[in-house]
Amino acid sequence: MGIEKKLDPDNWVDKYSDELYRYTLTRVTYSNFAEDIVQETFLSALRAKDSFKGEASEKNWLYTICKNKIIDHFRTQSKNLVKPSAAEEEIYFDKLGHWWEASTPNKWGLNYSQPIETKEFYNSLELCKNKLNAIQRSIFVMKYMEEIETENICKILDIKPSNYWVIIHRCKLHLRSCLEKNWINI
Amino acid sequence: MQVTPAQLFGKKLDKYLDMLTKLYEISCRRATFLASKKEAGKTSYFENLKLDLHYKICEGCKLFDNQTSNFSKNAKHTHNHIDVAMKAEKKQKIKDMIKKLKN
Repeated sequence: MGIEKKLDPDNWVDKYSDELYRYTLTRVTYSNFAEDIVQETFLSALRAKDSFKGEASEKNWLYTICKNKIIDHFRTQSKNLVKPSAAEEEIYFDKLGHWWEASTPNKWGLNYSQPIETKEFYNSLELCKNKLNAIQRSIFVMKYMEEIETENICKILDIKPSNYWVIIHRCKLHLRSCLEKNWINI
Repeated sequence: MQVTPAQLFGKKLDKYLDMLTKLYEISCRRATFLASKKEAGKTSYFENLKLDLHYKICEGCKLFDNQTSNFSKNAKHTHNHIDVAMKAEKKQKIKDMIKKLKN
């Protein structure tokens, strides 16, 4: 009876589908993946409803399931990921490792320790994130959006730590440069 | 009259300074690579020192570090700032599946 009171599957879609969808889409990029993950979240939750102890709210419980599905998605996807290619850094650095003049970071005129609240930033970040290749994006999402430890990310994607650092470096170089062009408009 | 260290030690000091610089010098490519490792607490004391010294002389890498930390930290809030909704047909399909599974 207690469980019936707290879980209300008939209203899950109306109450949570849009926010879970937004959460998932910003992490897995493609709408078909996001739709499937949200659907599987609800169906798994329903199958596991007896394990709901009411310690977390219904909403947080659904989020936990959804976050696990997102990680599963990355684990499955990792089998098709291409290994990092050689020397993408050469777009930004010369042979001695100095910034090319055109790639040197410019001042953004921001207080970098302050949170960013503008829609323009988040739209640009989505655009730039979607330009990354799949493995770069997976790592960025897991590290900075799901806040998973480096060691776990390497396990999930089955990559070596040395590769992880190379990829996250490229990821930041690409994102920073893309944001400077598209968001800051330099 | 003030005596500069160079006048005092002559060419030897220049040589030592040169060696010291070479020991601590890293390229911008290396500095931006180390920035992510440092953020995760995976750099050595010596690497941190090299990075700090590099930032003192290189504004570009300092900017890179500040800017990338800033947008990376904010990325997890993206879903609160974009307008997308799930398609109505998909929602209906899931509702039907839930109903079916419940019975």
